[in-house]
Amino acid sequence: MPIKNKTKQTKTKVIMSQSHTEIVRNEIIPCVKESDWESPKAGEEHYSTNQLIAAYEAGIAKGISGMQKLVQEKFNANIDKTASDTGRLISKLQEYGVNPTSARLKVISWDQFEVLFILPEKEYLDEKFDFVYNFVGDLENSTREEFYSISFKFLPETEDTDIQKIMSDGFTLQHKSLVK
Amino acid sequence: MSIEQGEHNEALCEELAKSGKWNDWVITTAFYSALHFVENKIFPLKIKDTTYNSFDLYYPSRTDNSRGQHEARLRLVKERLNMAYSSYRFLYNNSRTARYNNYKVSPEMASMAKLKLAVVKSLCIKSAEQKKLS
Repeated sequence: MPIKNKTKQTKTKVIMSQSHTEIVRNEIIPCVKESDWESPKAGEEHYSTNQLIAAYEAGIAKGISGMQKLVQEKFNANIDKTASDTGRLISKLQEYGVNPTSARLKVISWDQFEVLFILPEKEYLDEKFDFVYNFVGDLENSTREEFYSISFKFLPETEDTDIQKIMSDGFTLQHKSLVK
Repeated sequence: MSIEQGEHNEALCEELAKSGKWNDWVITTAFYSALHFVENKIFPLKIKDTTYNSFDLYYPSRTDNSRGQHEARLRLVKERLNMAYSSYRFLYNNSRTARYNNYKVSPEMASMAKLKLAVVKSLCIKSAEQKKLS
């Protein structure tokens, strides 16, 4: 097994020995500004393995080293950027007459993030959405840094939309501006 | 990656679309058809003094592959085939998110996927023909 994978596996074992909910509740959520992202309510908490690894990498291990502290600080700054970049996209969507009902953040790692927009299918299928995709590609490229990247996905909302599945995949935090 | 394989997948996409029973697979086959068309168009790819004959040869040379092959390909389409970007991204996006709607895909979405595939194909085939002529 490659050394890199082995290290990751060891980290995963460390995480698995702790309460998942506690790790995310105590380590990830405190990094999130309440004004930007809404945390899941009690009983709605679903955390992917990647989020748990991210929590570890953000510095949950006891006896935080200087390096880990830097990573945690960067993670905090990155979380702020996700809110701001998502806000920019929400504004652009609204300019195009697209009205997302929700934007959910997934923490892939301390420097990688994904946001899933849920929106009416009719608006998603409109030809103006081509402009949105071009804007999104430019936004992702222009905001990418050595230790920060964000990507966006879109889900047309239907009666079959499964929020539990979405949350189970790690899209747990909701952008405050779209929470009713 | 070849135009033939893209057309092979496209033919399956058409067959699936006819019945209206497998719209989730219409999305998937449309995306995997488009993937062949764009790769065929983009490669061989010359960067500085190196020519990459395929995505498989290009991908390991990248310094940032942390988001995987699909995301790397998407960025490449943006850089090298911008006209096809929004259509290709539509197909990629839907193939990734269909599971959140329990793979229930509306006829309108399936039709749009076919349309987006046609856009991607037309841009790639036209370019391929021009490449042959030159």
